[in-house]
Amino acid sequence: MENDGSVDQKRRREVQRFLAEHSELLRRQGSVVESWRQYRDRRLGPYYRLAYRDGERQCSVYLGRDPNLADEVRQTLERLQAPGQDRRRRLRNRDALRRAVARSRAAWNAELRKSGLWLKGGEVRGWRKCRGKTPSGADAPSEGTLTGVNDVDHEDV
Amino acid sequence: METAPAKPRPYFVPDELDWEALPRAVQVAVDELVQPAYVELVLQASTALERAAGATFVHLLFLELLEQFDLGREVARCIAGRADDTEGVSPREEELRRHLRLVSQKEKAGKFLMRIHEFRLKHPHVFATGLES
Repeated sequence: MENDGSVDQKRRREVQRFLAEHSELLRRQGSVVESWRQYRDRRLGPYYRLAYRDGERQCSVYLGRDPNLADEVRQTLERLQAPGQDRRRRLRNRDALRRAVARSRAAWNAELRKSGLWLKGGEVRGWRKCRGKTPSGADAPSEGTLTGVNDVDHEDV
Repeated sequence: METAPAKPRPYFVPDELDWEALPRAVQVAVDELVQPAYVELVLQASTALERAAGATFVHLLFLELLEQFDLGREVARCIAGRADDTEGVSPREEELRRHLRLVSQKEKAGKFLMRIHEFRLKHPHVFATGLES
């Protein structure tokens, strides 16, 4: 019994040292994996290990059968990986909004084109061309067109 | 300590955006700033053109808000001298430039909407007969 305890304590210290020495690597990846073994007709386990990748190599650190140690390692990994996960979540959200902006800009451009205008970058272009097409001339806005918007301000929007 | 319940997801928020993952401060800001803009510029728009321009403005406003929050956090982290011990880094020049481009695009969409608004005041008959007719 005492022997088991000391083995567990030794393993715990080794695992803690490993986590401290490899914190930079484990910030980006690594997880606690549970596995079972078959011995004759019996299913043994769970056995825990810390799985991670070192370059292209898949590596693992054996954690033994102690669920408390496995939980401690899981919590340490969560703490180490939290800023990275938060950052990735924020980037995903920004990308989602950028796609929404692109969709609404495309819809805006489609509506502008109906009036002879178009979007270029963020600018609305084609005011002069649009005015030139107006049968009623430049001074008065023709009904049903946006040509008269040009009378409001001479700067391009 | 009791935490305040999360704000309900506004209906204009894109499906692929993880609303629950947004910081509470951003959720409140969306509720207080973006939602009224959406109501005024999209829901109350009288033409499809205004609605489309309004939706672009609203999405740009939302994105600006999100980026401002992120930039603020990064600057705070940098000032606190913790930029190197986490994955976050101080805002790079390119990020700031991209943010300024975004603000400029929002301003252009806003200017267009203002121009349409002024045009409406000047020539109400055009809108009475319908822009798309």
